Amino acid sequence: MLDHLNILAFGFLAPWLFAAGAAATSIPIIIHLLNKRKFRIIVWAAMEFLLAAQRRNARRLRFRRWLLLAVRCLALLVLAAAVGQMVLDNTAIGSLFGGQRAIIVILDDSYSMAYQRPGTASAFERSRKLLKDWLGKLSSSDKVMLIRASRGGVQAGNRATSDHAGLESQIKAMEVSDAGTDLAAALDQAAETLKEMERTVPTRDVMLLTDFSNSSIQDPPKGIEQTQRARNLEGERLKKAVETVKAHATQFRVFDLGTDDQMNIAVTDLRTERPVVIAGQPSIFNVTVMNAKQDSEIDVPLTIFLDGVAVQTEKLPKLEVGSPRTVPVKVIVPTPGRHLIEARIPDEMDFLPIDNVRHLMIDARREIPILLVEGDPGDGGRTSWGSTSYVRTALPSAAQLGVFSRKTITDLELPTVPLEPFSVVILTDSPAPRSAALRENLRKYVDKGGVLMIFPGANTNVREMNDLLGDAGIQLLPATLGQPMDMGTGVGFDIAGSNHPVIDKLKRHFEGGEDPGFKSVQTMRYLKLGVPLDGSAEVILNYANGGRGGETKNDAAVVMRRVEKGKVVLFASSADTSWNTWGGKPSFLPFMVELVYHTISADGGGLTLSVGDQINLPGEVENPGAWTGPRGIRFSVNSALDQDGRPRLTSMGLPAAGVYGPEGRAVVAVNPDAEEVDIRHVSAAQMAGAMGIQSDEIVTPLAPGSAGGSAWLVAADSKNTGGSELARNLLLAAFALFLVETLLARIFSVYR
Amino acid sequence: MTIPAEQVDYRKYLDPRTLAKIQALDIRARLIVEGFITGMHRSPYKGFSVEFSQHRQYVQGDDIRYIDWKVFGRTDRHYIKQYEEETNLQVMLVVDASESMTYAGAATKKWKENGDGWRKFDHATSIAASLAYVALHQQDSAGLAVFDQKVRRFIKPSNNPRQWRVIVDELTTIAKNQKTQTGTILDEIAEQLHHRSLIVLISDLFDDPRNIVKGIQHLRYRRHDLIVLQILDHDELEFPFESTTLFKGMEEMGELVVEPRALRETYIDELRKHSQILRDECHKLHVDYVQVDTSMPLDVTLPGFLATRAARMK
Repeated sequence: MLDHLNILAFGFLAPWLFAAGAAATSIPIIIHLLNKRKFRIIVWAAMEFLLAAQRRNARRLRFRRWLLLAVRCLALLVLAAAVGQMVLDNTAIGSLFGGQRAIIVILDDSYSMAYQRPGTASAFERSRKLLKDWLGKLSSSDKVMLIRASRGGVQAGNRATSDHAGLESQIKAMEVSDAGTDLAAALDQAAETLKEMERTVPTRDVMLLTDFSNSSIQDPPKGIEQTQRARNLEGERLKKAVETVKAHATQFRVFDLGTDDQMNIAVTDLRTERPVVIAGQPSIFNVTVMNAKQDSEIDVPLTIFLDGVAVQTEKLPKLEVGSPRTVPVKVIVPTPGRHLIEARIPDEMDFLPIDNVRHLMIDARREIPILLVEGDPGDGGRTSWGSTSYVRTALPSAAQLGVFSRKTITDLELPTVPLEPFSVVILTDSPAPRSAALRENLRKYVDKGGVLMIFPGANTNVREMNDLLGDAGIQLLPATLGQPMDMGTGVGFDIAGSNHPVIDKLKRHFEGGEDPGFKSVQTMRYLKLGVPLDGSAEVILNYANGGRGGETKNDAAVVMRRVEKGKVVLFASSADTSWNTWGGKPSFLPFMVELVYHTISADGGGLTLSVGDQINLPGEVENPGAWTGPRGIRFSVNSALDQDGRPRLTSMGLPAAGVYGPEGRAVVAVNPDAEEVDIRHVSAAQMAGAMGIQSDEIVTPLAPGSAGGSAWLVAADSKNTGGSELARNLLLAAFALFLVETLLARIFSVYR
Repeated sequence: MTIPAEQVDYRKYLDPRTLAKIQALDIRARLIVEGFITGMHRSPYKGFSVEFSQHRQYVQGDDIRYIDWKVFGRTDRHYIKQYEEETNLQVMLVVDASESMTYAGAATKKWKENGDGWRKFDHATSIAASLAYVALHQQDSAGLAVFDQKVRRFIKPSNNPRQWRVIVDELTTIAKNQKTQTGTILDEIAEQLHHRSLIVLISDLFDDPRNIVKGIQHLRYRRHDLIVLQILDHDELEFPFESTTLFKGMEEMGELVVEPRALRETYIDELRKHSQILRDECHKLHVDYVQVDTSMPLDVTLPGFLATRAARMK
């Protein structure tokens, strides 16, 4: 029975306007009372006829008077209700007459909802209040399901419930996420739930509360990295999700909780230019800043912090709206080990501080260890310094002002040397490893992220190499080795035809300058590489032999293949100068350095995460146990064995941006989703277009902060007449009542 | 410079707006009569008489109302009916001087210099004095009874030339403050008049119509001829009030606050019903009944009335 009391529930979007209007209903009453007090006096002779007329009309006159008074008051009341944007909570009526009802509330809890100008409530706070009030007005038979629309916010096993008090507590405890919006994922879950309820629940409504930020409907601009959420918003994914929801829902409404003044400026990316940071050496950090305000920004101060200490500040030149700007910043990390790098812009730049800082946890190392395997050790320099001599020269040690540490062994020693400590293993003129254990070892090394480079030479048995390392063997070779190609006086590289990043970088370095030495390189002999056509390998460099010896296409000179986490690079010619002149040319050194940097795995893997990611680190990084994070987050990090029986640290998804670690230590850095940065408010028409819905399915507020109570939300709730529609009808009703009043007054001869 | 009497347009004195400005009733009555006479082509005395005298040939200028159409039907010629001047007619003017007769419409307030307005009683006395003047000048006798809830003054009919002055003085000095008892008054007058008379009742007739009709029946029973002039103010006829008004009833009728526009229709209907009863009953009893609007000029009221009466007397 108590539920039925709810059928008269109503509210107002502009309660003060209604209050003023309601107060105005007293005007006709006051006028009526004043009229009773204010009259002229006439001494009248024909009183008996007047009395008779009064007697005849007494009841009718009283009825007319009250009717007119009632119509006037009602007209003003209805007008007040129209101006006050009255909304009726017909949900209870629906539950009374229409059976059970389920409402799926999709609440955008992405960090853009935390945008808060001073003195105002954030969209998230407003949402919570609205939902709390709205829950209080629901019929107890209504089932409600709450889905969070931030990336990672969708929870498996989420169900609609009638426990409104529990939901209220849940909403009260909710905090805005530091993740971006993922409306499509939330809508997908809503659609799944709607399908399940389709046969059992007659009324199924979906309400989406979001801030209408640009990033929620558009893919981020070029230069902003997308997180792992498969967005493709502009690729109709959002529309399809909405379409599915609408196909199974009785009503779908989108509530605009945003404000037109939403704007943001953010650090959207911070990364090292090289995959590794060498202690004591200058390292380039690329910082990307995005201006998502209404106007361009000038002289934005960007400060780089190393382990919490500001080490560099520079003012960014003009930042155009909507275009991410990447700035290289040179920082010297003094010591090896973990360091926290932060790029910050001042919090005063906007009203959304969460993305004004970006963290990067690095693991600086002293050097890059390289294992050089010589198939031809040379003769002490009489005719040869060995097949690795040029490679060793190209990858200088720290003592030679380089960053590499090199260990040279013969191919015979290879089975005895552990490969894991080395970032790169380079086989030069080595025969195919006949030991299965060695091959397996090589394969594991590459699988786990190692880089294997193979230079052929006189000791190379093509057939054996193909059989043991190729597709028939451990499947490491990027291409099939073919028969030697003798090119007489030699053939050069097709530099112009290559657009591989390694070559591109070299081209940029030498653009307009001296010949880096590619043109003068002559290759007299190489093995013809059979590059697979399935795209599993990428050609880094070709020979410019097209048209020679009956060849119509250039042959590949350097080919790379990704194998699991590692890479394998296969050269077509020798590392020494026995088959070519490259080792003695200036281009060989930068090529090898860039090739190593391009192929080796980045350090600090797993140390810098996005919101929602779980910790997954090698056990040796840190001890398991109780860790802490931003906002006083405490959680436990567990140790578990991986497939190889090695310990790894794992945890729950990290819910907030900031730095995590055992008490007092920073181990893992977590960043907010950069793609959320563009919080500029989109119009209802744009949102409707992006979602493929009608504009009347979008409910917009009267003004920021005007949504007192849940009336605004109730307005478009199931079976309700929409707030604006009801207001329009009320306005018409008020005019109709005024018309009726005039008509009655004329009929009653009140007006002449 | 004095304007010759023949150049004065006396008809303007038939308009109450003009009459209201004339304080003395005798002057007012004479002016009415003069205006009335100048407005007619022939002597009104004939019209006032009741006994047929002879026919004469119609000449241009004669009132066509007096053409005898029966003779025309027989002879195909136009003849005018002429009446004997009745010299022994007694005219008894019965004037209501009750409080309700003191009502003057708001529109008439500016007609008189003292701001009292043109009261129904003023209109009644003007008519009464005029009729007395006319009667006495055609050698008839004229008397006066002034009443409210009882007969306050009774002057027997006489054809003495000073009678008119007596009547006018009486009409001018009578106090007016009491309720009406028209029916009883008519009974009383019927008892006091021993000769067959023409009784002219001038009143607003704001009384129970049954009592009034009883009184009229009594007079008719005594073979008196009767003319009933119901004097009503224009406001009473139209009830033109707009805003909320407290109506304080005369003659102890109480008070009432009303929205006049809402009651107007019903009020007029009530008044119309009252008048209709009187009109119907008078018709049954062969009594002339005329409703007089105090805002209308007397030449609208009197000639019409006299013509009607003359037609009925043919």
